[in-house]
Amino acid sequence: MTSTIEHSTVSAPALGGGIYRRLNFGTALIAGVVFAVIAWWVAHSLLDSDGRGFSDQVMVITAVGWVVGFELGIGAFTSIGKWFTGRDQTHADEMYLAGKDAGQARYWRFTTDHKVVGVQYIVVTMILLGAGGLLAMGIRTNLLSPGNHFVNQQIYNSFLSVHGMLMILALIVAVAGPWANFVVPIMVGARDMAFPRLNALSLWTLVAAIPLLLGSLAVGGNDMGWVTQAPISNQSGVGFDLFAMAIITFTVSTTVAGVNTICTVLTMRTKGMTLERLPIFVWASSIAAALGLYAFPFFLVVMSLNISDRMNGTSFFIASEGGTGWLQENLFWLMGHPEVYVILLPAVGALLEITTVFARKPLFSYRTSIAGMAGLAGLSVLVWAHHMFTTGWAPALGGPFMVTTEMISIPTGIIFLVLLGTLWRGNIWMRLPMYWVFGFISNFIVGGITGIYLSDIPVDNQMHGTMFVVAHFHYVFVGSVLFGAIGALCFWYPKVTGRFLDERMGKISFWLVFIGTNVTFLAMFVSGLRGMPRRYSSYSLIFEHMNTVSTIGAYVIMAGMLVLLGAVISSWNKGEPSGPNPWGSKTLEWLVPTPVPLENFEVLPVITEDPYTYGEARTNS
Amino acid sequence: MTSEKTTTSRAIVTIGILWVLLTAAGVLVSIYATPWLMPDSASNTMHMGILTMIIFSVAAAPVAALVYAVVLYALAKWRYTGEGIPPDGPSLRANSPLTMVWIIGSTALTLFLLVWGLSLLASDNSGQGGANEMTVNVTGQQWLWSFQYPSTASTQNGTPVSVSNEDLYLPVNTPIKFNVTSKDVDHGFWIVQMGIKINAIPDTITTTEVTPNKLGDYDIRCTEICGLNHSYMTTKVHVLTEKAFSNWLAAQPKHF
Amino acid sequence: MNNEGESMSRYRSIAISIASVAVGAAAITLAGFGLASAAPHQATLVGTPLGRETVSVNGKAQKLNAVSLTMSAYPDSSFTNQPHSGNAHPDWVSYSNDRLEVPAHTVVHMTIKNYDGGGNLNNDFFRNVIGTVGGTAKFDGVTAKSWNPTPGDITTSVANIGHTFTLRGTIGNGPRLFVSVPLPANQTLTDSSYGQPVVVSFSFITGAAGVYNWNCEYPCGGSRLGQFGEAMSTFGYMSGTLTVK
Repeated sequence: MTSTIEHSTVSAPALGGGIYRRLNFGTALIAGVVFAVIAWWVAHSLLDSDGRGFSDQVMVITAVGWVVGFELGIGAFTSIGKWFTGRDQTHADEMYLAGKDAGQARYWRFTTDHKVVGVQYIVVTMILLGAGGLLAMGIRTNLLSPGNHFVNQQIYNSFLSVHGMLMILALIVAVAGPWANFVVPIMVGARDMAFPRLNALSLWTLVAAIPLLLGSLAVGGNDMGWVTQAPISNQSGVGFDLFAMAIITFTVSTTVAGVNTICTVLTMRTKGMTLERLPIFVWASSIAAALGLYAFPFFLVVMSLNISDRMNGTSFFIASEGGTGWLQENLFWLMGHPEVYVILLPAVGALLEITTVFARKPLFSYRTSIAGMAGLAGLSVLVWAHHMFTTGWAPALGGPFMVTTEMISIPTGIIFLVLLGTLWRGNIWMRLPMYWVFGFISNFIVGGITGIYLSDIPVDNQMHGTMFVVAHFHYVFVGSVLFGAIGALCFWYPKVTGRFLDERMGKISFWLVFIGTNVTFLAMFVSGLRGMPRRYSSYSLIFEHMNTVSTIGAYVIMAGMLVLLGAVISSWNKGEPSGPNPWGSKTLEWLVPTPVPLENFEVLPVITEDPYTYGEARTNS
Repeated sequence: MTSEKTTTSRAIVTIGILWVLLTAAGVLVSIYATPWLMPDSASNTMHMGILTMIIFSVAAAPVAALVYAVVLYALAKWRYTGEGIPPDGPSLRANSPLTMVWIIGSTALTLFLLVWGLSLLASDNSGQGGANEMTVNVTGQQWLWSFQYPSTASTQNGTPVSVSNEDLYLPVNTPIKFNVTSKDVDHGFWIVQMGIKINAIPDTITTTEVTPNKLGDYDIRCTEICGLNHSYMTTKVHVLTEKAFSNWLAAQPKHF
Repeated sequence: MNNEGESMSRYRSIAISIASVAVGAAAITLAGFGLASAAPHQATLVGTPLGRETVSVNGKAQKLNAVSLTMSAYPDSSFTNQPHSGNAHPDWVSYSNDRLEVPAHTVVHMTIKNYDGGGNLNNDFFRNVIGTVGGTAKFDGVTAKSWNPTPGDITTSVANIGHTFTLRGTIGNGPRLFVSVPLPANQTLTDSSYGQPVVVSFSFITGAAGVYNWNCEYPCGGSRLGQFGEAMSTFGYMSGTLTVK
């Protein structure tokens, strides 16, 4: 008997992805530009060109066109469209979207894998910091001597407004973007975030906002500071409209990301991961996300009302027509104050993680530290009018806001207690991430204490609007948050790339940035104490020496950040290999291999103890 | 076990000494550097403001000193100098008495600063509002200040006129009330050496009060970003003796 | 890691650090100067020397160097040789020059020709001539302390003001330089021609060297709020610098 072997072709399983296979960053850019041009043409032709708000209307509609086109081009709406037509995603689609077996290309498109989104956020953060840093160099160069020898005062005002906004955006995402995305799902023992597609959406929406913000510089800038105070925001040119649309787009991104973080932590913890066994970074990220969900809608509202005043002739903020500028300030600072704690808490959380690992000690007073962070977040919604002490709004409320603001020093003190308690009698391993912890402690003491000065009204009457305030918040933003973000980068770099960030370059960078920060901003305190107002492009000769010193310090910071950039880039492929857990940490992300597999865990772990069991006998081997 | 107790007590003693030294340095710097760094004081408001800065700095000195003392000791004594991952440290998870002391201490310090600040706030306007209080109308506009003395108002050929000027002149030891407004956007009216600051807001009148107590020339600077020439929106205030001031006022031409 | 491997990586680290700073600094400098030179401006108008003169200052006669400066104010930006290359806003009012230069401790004889129409100021304080030699200015040859040709009545069109020239700056603790002169409206301006300008001349004495700032205080810009937007808020139209050397 002969048996015949028949060869029949078996069709390959359907490739996942569908239309996603064709969409990437390039198609997003093209679609964004095309839609923006169409929107511009439609608005320009159909709207009344003699109307008062005409140029604002055209600019706003163009910006909407850009964002819609960009999101269509990256594929943000594709799955919604599919769902509406009854075709939900297949498993192959989901695997394609998660970037399975896709190599480098998956970083350039709408990828849902939280680790890919984390790396994309690192790049976006570096772009924002780089652009903001460039403008900072422009500001400090102009302030090297009085007389506006570098740029004129109009360009200077635009520099400082856009520098402020770029840096605020950079810091909001600096720790939360890369690390709440990359690390938190693994830390809680999940395979991905609760809403992977929303994760990718939050990143690409942020990317869509950046050209709008940079574009505002190109159309005449905006000269009202990043706080866009009414009534001067009403007077500004069309650069303001792009600025405001960038912010509105950003608030969508951050709301989506915040919801994602909270749902992941609440619902996707693995078996045995009770709330008391969560790493402190997870707590910090969740509390910050919740605070952001409260605060950022105010940002959306205040920018929309401001645009409406310009575009539609409403008078929410125009005193002569029944509105008031104070409304704008209240709405803005209702967002603005909680926002600085949204920025601070993830950085503090990351630094606390680093301290436990590098001092080989459990976190000191775990419950108190959570209470401290929650107290900080809770109190921060009650203090906003301390930014308005000298505006003449509600003088009778000065006392109550002074009380709430000074009370914030109590939870802030708890952070120091936890840090120092964790360091106490530890075996402190001075590797690169630990440097940034110590830098943070030194800078945050200065930043925190100078904030207390400003909370006192008689002192604030002298210091508000001077360089003292600028030095205070730079000590907190640069000296504390940026140090936390860089520490987090040095700490988790081996997990992302499998290589150490070059220690020597990292230490050179640390010393340059630390010394530069203190030189720049201590000299700035002096100029503020002596009477130099902020947002001044030129100043009286009596402030010259301190400004020259500040500018030199700024160049030193620039050098340090460039060295860091060089280290990040050169170590990515050529750094010293690190293995999966070079720091001997006990949190879950270090217990998975490097590079982290697509679904994080072969088998989801069962947790029996918290990750801070340093110095304790193991209960089970 | 004894060695652990000795380590801890040695640490506490050394940190304690370091703390005292750093606090002393901080207090000295607070008391001497603060008035040197700040502008001259030309009013009681400013004097109390500088005093508040000194008090806050002195109160903050032990807090900062404690943090730096612990950090410096940690870097000196608890640094691991071996190869590879260090061995685990002691499992010190909590210390309730310490945490209680820390929280109570920081609350007490905060309360002290609050009591000081609130009582200063409440007392700031004493001495104002008397019969000899003089009113000055301050107008901020893009991009300069102009000052008008309503006590000189009269009419000239049916047009209301009064004395107004681009520099501010004030008599010493007289309570002054400023009615501040703006013609266009928000500006910040700040008399640097007198420690008063209030925004000038369009279609609104905000007020502030001060009693200058020192003769001389001082600075007024705008502190709310108001556009193109915000940096140039500065002018001078000249505090004269009461006699010199009334002579000056009488000699000024009246404008619309 | 052997010794040789270690020192190789040390040199590599330091080399990459230096290279990063050098490349980055070069990129930043290029970008910075690119951004800075994006602002259009024309050449500086330098005061023409006139020799020495005797000027009465606070009742005392002083011998000072003198220079003269002449500029104009226009109702739009379509005049020749205007400061805005590319003419971004041809319908915005504009001064003829935005950068002026005069020597220190000199008496400056300034003439401004105003071709633009006008209206009422938002603060009549600026009807007055302030800070000039003698406290007066000449308006089409007539000397006056303020622009109010119909005393007691500032509402007639003859009393309209087109712009002001307001100069101020605070350099260190020295004496201030503050000069403000109203420029009456040009009654002969029509839709098709500039007509004859109102010629205003005045003198002021400069003090210490520095960069001072001047702008118009008449609401001649756009925007809903006080008409200080657009031309008034954009460098090079209704504001500029006076460099005293």
